Amino acid sequence: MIKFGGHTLVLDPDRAVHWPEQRALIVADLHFGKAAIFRQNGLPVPAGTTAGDLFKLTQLLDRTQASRLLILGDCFHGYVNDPAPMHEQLHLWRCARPRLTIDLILGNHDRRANSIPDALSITVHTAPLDLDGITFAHEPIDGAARPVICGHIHPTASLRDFDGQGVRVPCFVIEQRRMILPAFGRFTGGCAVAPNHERQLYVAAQGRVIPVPLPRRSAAWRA
Amino acid sequence: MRPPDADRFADARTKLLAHLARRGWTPFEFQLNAWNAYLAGHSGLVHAPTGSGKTLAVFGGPLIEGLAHNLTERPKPARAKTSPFTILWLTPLRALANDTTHALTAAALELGLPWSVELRTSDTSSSIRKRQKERLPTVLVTTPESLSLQLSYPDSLERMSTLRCVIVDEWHELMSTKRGVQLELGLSRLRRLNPQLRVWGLSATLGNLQESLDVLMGHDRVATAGESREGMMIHANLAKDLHISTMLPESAERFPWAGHLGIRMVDPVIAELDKPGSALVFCNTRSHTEHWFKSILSRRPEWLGEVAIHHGSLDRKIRLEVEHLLRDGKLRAVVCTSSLDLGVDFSAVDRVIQIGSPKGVGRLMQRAGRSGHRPGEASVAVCVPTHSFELVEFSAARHGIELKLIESRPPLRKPLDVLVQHAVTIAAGGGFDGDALFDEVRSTHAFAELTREEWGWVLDFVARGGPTLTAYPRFARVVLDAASGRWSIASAQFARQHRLGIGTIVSDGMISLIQSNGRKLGSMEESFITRLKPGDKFIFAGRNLELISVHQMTARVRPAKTRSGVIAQWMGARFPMSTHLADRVRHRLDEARRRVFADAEMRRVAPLLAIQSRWSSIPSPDELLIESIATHEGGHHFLFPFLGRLVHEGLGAVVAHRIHLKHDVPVTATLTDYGIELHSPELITIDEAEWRRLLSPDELVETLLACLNAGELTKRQFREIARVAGLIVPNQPGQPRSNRQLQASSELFYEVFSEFDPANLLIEQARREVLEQQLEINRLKAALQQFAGQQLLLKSPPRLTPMAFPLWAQRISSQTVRVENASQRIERMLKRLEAAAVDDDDSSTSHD
Repeated sequence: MIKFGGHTLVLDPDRAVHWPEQRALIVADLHFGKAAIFRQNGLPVPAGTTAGDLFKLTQLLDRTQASRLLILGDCFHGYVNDPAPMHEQLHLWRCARPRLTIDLILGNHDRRANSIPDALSITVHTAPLDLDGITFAHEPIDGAARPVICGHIHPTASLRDFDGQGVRVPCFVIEQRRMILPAFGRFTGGCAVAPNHERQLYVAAQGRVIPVPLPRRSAAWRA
Repeated sequence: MRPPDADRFADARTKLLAHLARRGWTPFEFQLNAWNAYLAGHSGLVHAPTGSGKTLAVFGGPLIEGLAHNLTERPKPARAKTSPFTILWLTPLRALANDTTHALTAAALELGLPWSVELRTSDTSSSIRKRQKERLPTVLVTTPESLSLQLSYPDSLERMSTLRCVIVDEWHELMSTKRGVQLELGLSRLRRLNPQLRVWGLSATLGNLQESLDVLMGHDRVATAGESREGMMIHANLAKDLHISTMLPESAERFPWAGHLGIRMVDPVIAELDKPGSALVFCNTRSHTEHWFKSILSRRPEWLGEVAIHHGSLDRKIRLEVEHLLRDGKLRAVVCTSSLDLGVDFSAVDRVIQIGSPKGVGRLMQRAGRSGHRPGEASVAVCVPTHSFELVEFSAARHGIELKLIESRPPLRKPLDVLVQHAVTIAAGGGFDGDALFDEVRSTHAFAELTREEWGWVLDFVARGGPTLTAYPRFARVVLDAASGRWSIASAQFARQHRLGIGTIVSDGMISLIQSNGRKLGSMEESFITRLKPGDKFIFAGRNLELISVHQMTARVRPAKTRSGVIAQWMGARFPMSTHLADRVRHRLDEARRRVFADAEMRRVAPLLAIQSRWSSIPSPDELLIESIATHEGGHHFLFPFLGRLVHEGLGAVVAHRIHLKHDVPVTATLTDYGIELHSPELITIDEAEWRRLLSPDELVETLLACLNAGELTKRQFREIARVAGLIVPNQPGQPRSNRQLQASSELFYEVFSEFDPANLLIEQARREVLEQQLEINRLKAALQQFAGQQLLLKSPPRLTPMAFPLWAQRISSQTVRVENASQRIERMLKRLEAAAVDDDDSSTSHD
């Protein structure tokens, strides 16, 4: 649980943010259709990544009892030649929770993707969305009037082990006036981000969220 | 009466001999034997050191055949076409290809043969490629990758139908690699084209020459029911004098105990280069060539232009320039990597300088053989240690050469990633019949044991992503035409994409380096460039450069005004030391233990070995030395089995896993050719009885499976497989943006396959490669059984000993093995973060 922009937000280990006050669940960078795009381009990727992501989303919604889903861009990876199966899959999922409100703030990938069927009832925002003093955007905005929550970067933290080797784990990036969410999608890569005095990282893995301490003068394992 | 045909061949032979006689050459017996074998229709292998006339041995036969053929034909009008495509010359290195093309062109020209000789590599210009697409030259000199590329074009076989002979140069370099397997597959295709095809290999000395001949010949399953083809082995049996000496540092104790640059020796090296004649200075990595080049020139600025640098990442124009200057004897020295390792016949080279360990007996012998090419001259190699222990290695390597203990290179079996690539290549190159290609593929040594099930999986994988039940939706790289029963590529776009990825050499994303005036300098790994900001200075190709910008896989640079800058680095794998050399090292150490010092190198290193004895011990062959010591980094156990890095990899994994299991602590094993370091956060006390259990051959299978299931080893192995099997779209300079959305790392593929398609045979192959290359059970069992018969020498030295120090110091750059699986590892690190978070809370409370 953290304070951000004057509100209490919960960082969820399943790479989402829960805003209890608004009964909202916030995720970023789902990249639906990425595996399909790989396949249509002759790269063999097994099916199942979309279903896996939807299952995780269902669990999150059940756990948080959120009534609103806010997607901070890159819901879709790009243009799929035959989007019908993917849209059908999403539609089935959507029908099971008709009262859920879904907002999508368009990301750079969404802009190249197939148009979103009306049946999915997703409210699409082409610009950042302001909500109770917080701006929700896809890409990090510099010098915004209000605190910003966004995605796009797919941040990961590199944790150094005692032997000097690093392991990369998805993380939330929290600065004074900006929060960046880890990518939600299963079939996505990551970009290493380093913590500093203005930038706190929280790794999300194995069912918990833990702050990453700043590297100290001695990098020894037991320090 | 002799048939007219025989007369023609006799005349042609006379003509060739007369031509050679005019140049003052008399063919050696092995050359005549090779000609005869070729003309009698045989295939085979010529085993000869470089510079002994092996080119003439394999090319003489085809020349005689060409001359005989030419004698029968009426004289043609002056503008007649050259002879059709007849000879394919395959070579592993582009540098070699240039040289070979020159030599073959000259031979054909001098004999008045209407032959065209042309080169085809990835460096070949598009206009020549276009011409070659119309009509292939009489002799095509190319690489295994370019041959595969040829086979990926629909009319390839038609254009190659007149082929009679394939020559594989430096076969020993290719044989135990995936490139070699790719070449075997290419040959199987060409043999189907012409069952009378003659295939000749050229090989330096190997421990398993006969096997290397068998691999090259393959099996003719159709004609002779699985019998191996008869191949002729032709030995040169020429003894060449080798003079191998070492530059001795003044004192072994005060010389670095570890490290890898050896720049301290730059003054004696300069003194050596000051002598008349020219030298090749071999370094083990590209970064080292940059370091040494810079150091030499900073001491002798007047040598600018006389000393050159050569490595695989330099632009081809720069490399060619250097090769030409060297050939013409205009250079004092070339600082190079293995880029000049192979048979380039530089008769101008008078001596070879080897910086750092050659890692193998055979490699030192071959590198030395690069010098003294003129008849009657000896080959001269001067070895330069980069740290004290290499004195032992040089002494050991020379001993190995004296005893003719040359390494074997085992051929690979069933790498399915290469087969997946080949299947798509052939599908793009006009398509195939499934059964016919199965037979063809099984005629290679690598896939002789391929089962129908495995072949079926390969077809399913390229066509549907997997067997019907787990097929990937709407995926089709290759499609089966139900009417004709032929498999072919699904689209022209896939064919283009596939051609970009042909090959089995895996490298990090490459960024081209271009100067502001448009001059190409070469390529760098993405991981190095991304660490630099515009304005940063670095050294590449011996030049001081400043980074201007990086855009779409191209980095723009300009000459830097200042001389300071970081030296370019590449990730390239290091050669592991061969077990033969490690064995000889052990032998030398045992002599030293008995106070026997065989040569100058060993006498110089003696005081250092005395320190080793005083602080710890020098193990005899029936002792296994284990040193345990605590440092500020945690606990370290050093084991010294001297079995070479490949064996140590498996042993390190097994022992680390057992310690991890027993003590529930993380253990990282670091391996070198001498020993294994087991590193953990705290020093674990282990007594002799426990070491015996940790090193026991009992329950080895269970331990190996557990190591394998931890997954880290497999994931690493999968990186190469993903690339070869065409899962990773290669980065291309200036690639269109649309390709970017197809980028995914091999780790991501590994995770997605493991979770959603665990039966994928490429994952299985990664496991198998780990089992065969790192955890090979028979080899590990033999090692562990050997320990059972040895005394354990447990020592707790006061500080890092001369033998342990290199292991400790080099672990950043050397291979490590971790035995936890990813989630265990993350779990442990999360616990640590949690503890740190609690500490922070405590301290912040106390401040309040």
